[in-house]
Amino acid sequence: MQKSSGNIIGHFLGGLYCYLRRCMFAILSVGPVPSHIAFIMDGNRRYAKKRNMEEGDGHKAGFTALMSILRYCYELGVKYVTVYAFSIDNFKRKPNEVQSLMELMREKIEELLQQESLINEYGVRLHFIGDLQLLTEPVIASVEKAMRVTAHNNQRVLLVCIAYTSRHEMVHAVQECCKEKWNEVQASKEAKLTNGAFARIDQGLKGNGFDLLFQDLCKDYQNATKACNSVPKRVEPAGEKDGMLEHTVEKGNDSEAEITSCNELVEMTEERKYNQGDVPLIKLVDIEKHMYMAVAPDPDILIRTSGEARLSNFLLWQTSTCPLYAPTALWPEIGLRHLVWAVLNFQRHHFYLEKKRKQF
Amino acid sequence: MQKTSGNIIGHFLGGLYYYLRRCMFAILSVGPVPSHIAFIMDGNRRYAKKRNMEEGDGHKAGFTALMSILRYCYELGVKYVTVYAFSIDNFKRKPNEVQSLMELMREKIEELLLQESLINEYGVRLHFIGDLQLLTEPVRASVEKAMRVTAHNNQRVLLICVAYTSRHEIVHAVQECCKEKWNEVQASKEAKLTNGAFARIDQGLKGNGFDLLFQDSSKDYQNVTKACSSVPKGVQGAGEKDGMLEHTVEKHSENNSEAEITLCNELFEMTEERKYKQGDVPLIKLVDIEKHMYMAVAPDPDILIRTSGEARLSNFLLWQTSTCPLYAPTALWPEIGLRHLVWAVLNFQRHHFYLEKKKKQF
Repeated sequence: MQKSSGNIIGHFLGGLYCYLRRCMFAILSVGPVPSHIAFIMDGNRRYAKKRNMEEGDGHKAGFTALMSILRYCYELGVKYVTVYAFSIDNFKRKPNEVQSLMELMREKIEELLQQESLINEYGVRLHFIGDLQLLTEPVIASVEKAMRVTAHNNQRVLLVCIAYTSRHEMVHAVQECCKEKWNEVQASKEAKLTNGAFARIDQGLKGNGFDLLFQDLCKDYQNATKACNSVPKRVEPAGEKDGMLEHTVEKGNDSEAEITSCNELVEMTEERKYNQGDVPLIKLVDIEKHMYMAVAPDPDILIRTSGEARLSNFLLWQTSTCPLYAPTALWPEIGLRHLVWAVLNFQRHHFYLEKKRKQF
Repeated sequence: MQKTSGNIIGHFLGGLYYYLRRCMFAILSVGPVPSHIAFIMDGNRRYAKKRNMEEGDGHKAGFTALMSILRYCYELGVKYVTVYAFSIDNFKRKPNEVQSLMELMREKIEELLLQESLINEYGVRLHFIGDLQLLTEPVRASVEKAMRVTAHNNQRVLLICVAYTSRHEIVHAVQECCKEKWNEVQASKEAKLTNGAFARIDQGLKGNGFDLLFQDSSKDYQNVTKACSSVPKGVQGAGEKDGMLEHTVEKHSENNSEAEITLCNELFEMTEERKYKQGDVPLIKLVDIEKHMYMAVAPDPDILIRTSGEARLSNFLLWQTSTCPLYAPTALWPEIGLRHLVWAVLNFQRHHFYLEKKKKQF
């Protein structure tokens, strides 16, 4: 009888709390709702120290806080949530701590998939952001499984940053940019080579094989340099090229012709160097396209617990116009009131920020 | 008599304030002092609106606040001060506002040089950070003159960000990186060409000119592709190259199509081999990008202070503030004063030990 009464009261209070929360969110939704909130989960170890717990227990309490925060965000209507779970710099902590964190992460990823009531209830798709090759093999397997299982969900997105720092992300984007540009050059060159091969087979019997091969090599050389320089093709270089070839064929044994050819080559090189600065090779959109975070828009709010107003190498590029909110609570203590306060602050500044964004 | 008395009292109070400030800074200096403080000067127009002033007067009051803040920083011992004066995004404001801001900036730069009591008193060197080509001609002339005049000062540094956004800085650093890598390739290739020319002049009489020219072009081609791919030179690559050349030299008069097909296949294999190796050796590293930043002349800031209570970076020093505390007092920029600076330094000293420990750990 008493147990049943306790259950009834518990359910009643839970339902009342849920109802009040729904009312609060309905009021908040009258204003603009942020589409992307980023969290820096700071203070797990300090929480454990404050409560005389084990360090691992602090991180577990942090995971519980994360689940409740995710529920509040998705109920409110936030589409993208990003959390900073593990930094590349965190790999330099004590090895047993890193090992236990990796193990805890793998456990929590599997628990996240089993806990169908949240991921499937809101249709959450999981993205793991960062240099995943730095993780240990079991964690990589869990990560890939989680991304594969939730790939069909399209209503909400949860981005978990592991093995991530913002500077590493920018350098990686730059390297991908250069690789992509180079692959474009290679693709055009291979197409030319294939055509050249067939042409040479057809004309082999005419006895012009050597000249054709030489011309093809020259074209490859000029094509490569042109692509690297991004100099547009013009009539003048073609004229110079033809002149150089004719000189060579007609006066094979004349040293003056050789000096002339060499001078022409040097002049062409200098001309290309002069033109190089006019057409930049890599632009802003190229770098942004290769960021890890290209799957989501820039965050509207960035919340860091424990009162530290620092970014700690997290989303430096993406927070160029993003308000930073730093409540003094530790991460396991974060709750509904911090989220509501952050959203209210966002709504207070949203009109001004939107106006500035449209102006720019 | 009354005027003299007023002067005496004014001087006395000024001296007292100065003495108290010196005592306060002496106490602060017992702890670590930040070497680089960055300021986002926000709120000039709101200050003008609040005081019913002209917009230009708000910015002038902001300049006065900047001078006093600079004096406090340099007395405290801060070596580098960075201020965010004008953003690239600010060019999209109303044209007459942009024009008046440019004019005000030129006037204040000249006033900064005339006002010898601060720049020369503390040996301040001026750096203007940003894409200076976007500025108008008179402002750019003032900027270059200011940098030239203060180039000999080596005690304190003032970095003024004009025509600056952090994303633009990062993209510019990337472009400079690629250009530098390409210039290294060009330099080595030109040296080879010069040597080749002399060699061919000497051997011209032997009648081998054509073959030498062909070999040189082929070497140039391979050198370019190797440099772009950053593939280290290996014995295997050299062997393949020699094999290809021998094939060509030995059978160039036979017109054998099979040899040509073989050459083509070898070329394909070399291309695929280079593509496979391309990912192993990254072309651009972290230090290359940092070397080409506009802000490479100064270390990363220790504190970033933004007035008007907005906790945003507004595309200012995104790369450099990866471990930097952000302090956002609610005062507008012309209202900033000694107490805000002292509070920021105290906060810095409270966190400094922890941040230093983390920095050494990493």
